[in-house]
Amino acid sequence: MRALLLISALLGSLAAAPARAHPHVFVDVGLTFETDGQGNLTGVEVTWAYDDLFSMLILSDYGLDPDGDMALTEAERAELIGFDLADWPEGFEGALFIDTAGGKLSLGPPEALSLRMEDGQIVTRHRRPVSTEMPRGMTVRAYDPSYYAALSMIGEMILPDGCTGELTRADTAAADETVETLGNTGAEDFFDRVEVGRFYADTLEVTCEPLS
Amino acid sequence: MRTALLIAAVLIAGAALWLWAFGGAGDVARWAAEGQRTTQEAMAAGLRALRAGEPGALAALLGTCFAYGFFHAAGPGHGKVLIGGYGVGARVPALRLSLLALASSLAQAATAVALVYAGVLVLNLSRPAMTGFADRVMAPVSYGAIALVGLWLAVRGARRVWSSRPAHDHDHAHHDHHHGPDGHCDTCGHRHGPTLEEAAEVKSWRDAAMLVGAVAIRPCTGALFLLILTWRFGLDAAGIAGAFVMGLGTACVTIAVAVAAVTFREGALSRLATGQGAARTLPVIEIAAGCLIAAIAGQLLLAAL
Repeated sequence: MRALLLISALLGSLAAAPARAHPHVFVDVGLTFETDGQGNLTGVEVTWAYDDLFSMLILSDYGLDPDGDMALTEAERAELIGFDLADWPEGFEGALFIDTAGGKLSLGPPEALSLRMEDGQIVTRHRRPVSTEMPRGMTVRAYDPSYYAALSMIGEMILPDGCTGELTRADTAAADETVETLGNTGAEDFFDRVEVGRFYADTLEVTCEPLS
Repeated sequence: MRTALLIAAVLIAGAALWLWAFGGAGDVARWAAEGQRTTQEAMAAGLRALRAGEPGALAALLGTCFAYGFFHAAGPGHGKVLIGGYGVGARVPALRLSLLALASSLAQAATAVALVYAGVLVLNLSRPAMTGFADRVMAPVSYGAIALVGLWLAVRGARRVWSSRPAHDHDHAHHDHHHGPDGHCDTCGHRHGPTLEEAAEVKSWRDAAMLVGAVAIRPCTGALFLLILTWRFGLDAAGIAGAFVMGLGTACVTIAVAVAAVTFREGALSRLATGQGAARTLPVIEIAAGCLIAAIAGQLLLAAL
């Protein structure tokens, strides 16, 4: 019996890993929060910087940059802009999740702003419109639920005046969360959890002073 | 020897416990993801260098491919479940299971090459169509195949339990009994239930083909990325070599799992009484391992559908 228990433990450990998909795309995320100056949050600008290999792949998908210098002409940039906003699969929320005391913020459809090349990386910017009174606190997470893309919130974060942010990298938070999930619900449910991207999400806690 | 095996088994069980219960799997996955990101960037640099015809670029790219395969497998991996589960459930020498792990990793690379070249040369598929096919069709098929292998192990274990039950009714070999001077039959050789060796020994090529096939059906997305890029850049040979070197990197991890599984099984079993008791326990372990493989692969299958 003891042997069986140990064997179950070993197999369980094998199971713990494949419950998570592995990322194939790595993206650095930057965010700019946009206000109207009258205490309303009007939008979030999202910057995505793709890793070198995926950038190379995208350029070759579109038949761009034939000389391979990882630089684009004006016309090529115009052709490529919005490539990461078209055809979002159903249920894909743009890999950005903002929670407030009043619930999850509703983010509007993305509008492409710009696309440029930077050190062999494609860097795109888009805007998600928001219409809400500036929340006192926001929990901002950027992640792909399927974890096909691994997003890191290590880009520039520009917060509204009077707000401060504290970034927690996924490292400790995700480990804690994983353990917590395991402890609370047992392994059975853990294996059902397909949307693992959240475990690896960085978290930006934004706290804002009320307008005086 | 028994003590050493037991210590090894305890260490492996400890590692399993750490991975499973204390969030270690998360740490490993993050470490693997970081490593993969680094190698992915290095691969892009290697491809640029190769495209520019820089000397030594091919060796650098192949080195990167090896690291990529290693990190990719060190994270999650359907192959590890099957190879590890099989190694725990069925008795198989470490060397043979290691060779199977190597074969399945290389066969997986061959699948990637076949998919990309069929995709671009015959079917004229786009890159998203190819990776999408790998994720939406080949991955579920692979998980399904792995689940079937698990079920097959469980069924085989169940059959052994059945055939080794005490009230057996098999034919007691009514051939020429040669009775010795003391009246004892020394050549009848009929046995009650399988021996420990027989109950556990796995030799069949069918098993090998099932293991390799089930793993190989699902090509690694990283290999697809590499092959598609090298094809577009006219660097086909480098890409194909890179895919197989990636397979070697992956095999490093699956071989480690194979060796760990076999060591663990031998160590755990050395604690059990040999003889009839073990002969009855072994099929139960096989059933448990088979069911677990099937359950895990089934979960993956449901998630992928």
